Amino acid sequence: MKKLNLIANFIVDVIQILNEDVSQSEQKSSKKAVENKSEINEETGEEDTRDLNVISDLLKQHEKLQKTSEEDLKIMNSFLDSLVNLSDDEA
Amino acid sequence: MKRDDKNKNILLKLLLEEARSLANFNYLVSYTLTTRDKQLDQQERWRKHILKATKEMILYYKLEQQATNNLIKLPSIVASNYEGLFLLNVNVTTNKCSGFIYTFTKYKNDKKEKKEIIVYIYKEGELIQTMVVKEGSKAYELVFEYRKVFEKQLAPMRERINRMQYKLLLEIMYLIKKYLRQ
Repeated sequence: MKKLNLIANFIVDVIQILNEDVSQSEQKSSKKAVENKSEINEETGEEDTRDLNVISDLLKQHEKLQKTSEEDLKIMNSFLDSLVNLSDDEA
Repeated sequence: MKRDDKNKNILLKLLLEEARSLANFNYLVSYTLTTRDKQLDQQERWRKHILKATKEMILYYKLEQQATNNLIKLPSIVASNYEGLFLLNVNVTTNKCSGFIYTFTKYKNDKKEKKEIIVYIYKEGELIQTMVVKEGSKAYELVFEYRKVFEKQLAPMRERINRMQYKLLLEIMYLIKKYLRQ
């Protein structure tokens, strides 16, 4: 079924996201963190840089998780819409 | 080197925004007439736990009142054998759920007679449609296939993701507390 394939694809995507090595995505740092990092780096010391790296990493992980949350809602809505459409077709 | 106030405020603002966003959780919940109250208690306990963990962020955004009033609601119907499957989205100030409740319309003694379910579809807490679905139809098959995927794959995966999200939230809160102390 089309909708169940969609769910299966989502599960595969999520597993990939969860298993992805964070270090592989180091270069694609979060825009938000980079902007703040450049703004702050001028006048901050080593501790700030360390914290910023931690924050940047946390933001990246958050972005990944956020995508899965959006997908969850998409899958549920897609399922509900399919159900409503099937009910109309079979009526 | 001592961090100046400007930099500290920029960092704090960023961290607080992140904490607010990370305090937005999705849960995939299933329940029956007999387990609904237990499910509600569990979700409420978890919500209060998140509020406690993010106290500094809630105070910063002055959300105490809204957070206190944000009681979780899960739809129910008058039937003894229903089952509800919902995606519940809970953030600090609001909660909403989308999903469905189904119940068998009547018990069939005759195995040859087709079963029938009535499905109540909810979006963002509102009942949007009620439909009767007969065994053998595509809709009937879809309901039970989805139920299987929901329980075996989607819900356990969501739990795993939520644990990771909670861990990130605690790390962000740790940094917030650190900068607030300085």
